[in-house]
Amino acid sequence: MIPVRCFSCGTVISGVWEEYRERIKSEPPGKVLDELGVERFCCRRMLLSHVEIVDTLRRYQ
Amino acid sequence: MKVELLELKENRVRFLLKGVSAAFANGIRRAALAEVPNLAIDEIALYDNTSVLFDEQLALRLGLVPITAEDPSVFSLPEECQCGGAGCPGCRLDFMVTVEGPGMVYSRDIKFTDPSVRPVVDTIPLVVLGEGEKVVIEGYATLGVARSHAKWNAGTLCGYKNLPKIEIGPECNGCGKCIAECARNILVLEAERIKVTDPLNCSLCKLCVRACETGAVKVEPVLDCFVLSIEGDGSVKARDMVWMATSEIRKRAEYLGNWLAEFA
Amino acid sequence: MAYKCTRCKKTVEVDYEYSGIRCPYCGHRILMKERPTTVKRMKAV
Repeated sequence: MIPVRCFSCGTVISGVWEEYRERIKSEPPGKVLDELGVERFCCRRMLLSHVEIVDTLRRYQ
Repeated sequence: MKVELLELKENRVRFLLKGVSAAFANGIRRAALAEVPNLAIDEIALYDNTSVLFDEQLALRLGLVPITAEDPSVFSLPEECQCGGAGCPGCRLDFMVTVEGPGMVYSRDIKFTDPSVRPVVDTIPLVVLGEGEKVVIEGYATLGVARSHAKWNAGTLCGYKNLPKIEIGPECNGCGKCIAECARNILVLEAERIKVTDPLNCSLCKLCVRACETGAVKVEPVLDCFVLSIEGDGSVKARDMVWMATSEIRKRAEYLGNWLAEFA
Repeated sequence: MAYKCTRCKKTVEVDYEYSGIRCPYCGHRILMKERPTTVKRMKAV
């Protein structure tokens, strides 16, 4: 699951996660982040570097 | 002291503070970061959780969700409440989360009994539920300050810098080396002379000073003038946040004054 | 205390007299402890 807030500055970044995940399928991630208002590099790395493993894990419930 | 407003948005305020010391500007920054009371989920009771996340992980995620009230001044900090911290409607806001899978649990599923209280962002994914999985959580939110836990962090990004003063001397030959060096792109060439477009955006890195061979560019911080930038997570308006931060400083200064007066 | 077999998903009572833990239905040796029905209180930190 995407962390609720940015680790460094505390801004809530998870609110745009689902939109981000949909849009990067067809658009460059940098442009999407700009448009979603994720400004600083600390917040941008939260979304850019996140790997969603919760769906993989669920199979072993 | 003189204050000049540069930018005012719901979540962000930038202003100039003239004629104060760095300690004063830093005081406002620190108070906005750590002393502004706002709402966050404090304690939860799990009736059922068959999701992939552990109870503790879910508790942490719930705690970090920013919560806003239409009028936060009607609530009080648990330690200052008239109930003495025992828990009453004045300091505790009950909520309930009941979701059955399959699907995602969002922050909008946190239902408060008080209709004026709601999460700031509706689309925070809390946990994903598979077929037949279920979460039933009850709990309460309280006011708190970020000094005790980062989930009460209303002011997420607060900073200040000295007001930059950029001067271009008559030695300037318009070579344009400083323009190429500037990371903030605030220098332009205009009629064989360098011109500064937005001096407030300057980060005082002085790369342009180093690049200039004639020594025409001078960048100096104005020592008693500060650019303060206060940004919040949305639970408290940026405008109110500066107000609450300064009130907190005033309250403490008064306390210190009274305390010292006892010895005089 | 009820356990659940991770292979056949059946609720299993563990026989402590028997040396070793094993599911009596399928013979699987990995059992999970079920979530207690009590309410769990915790701080959201």
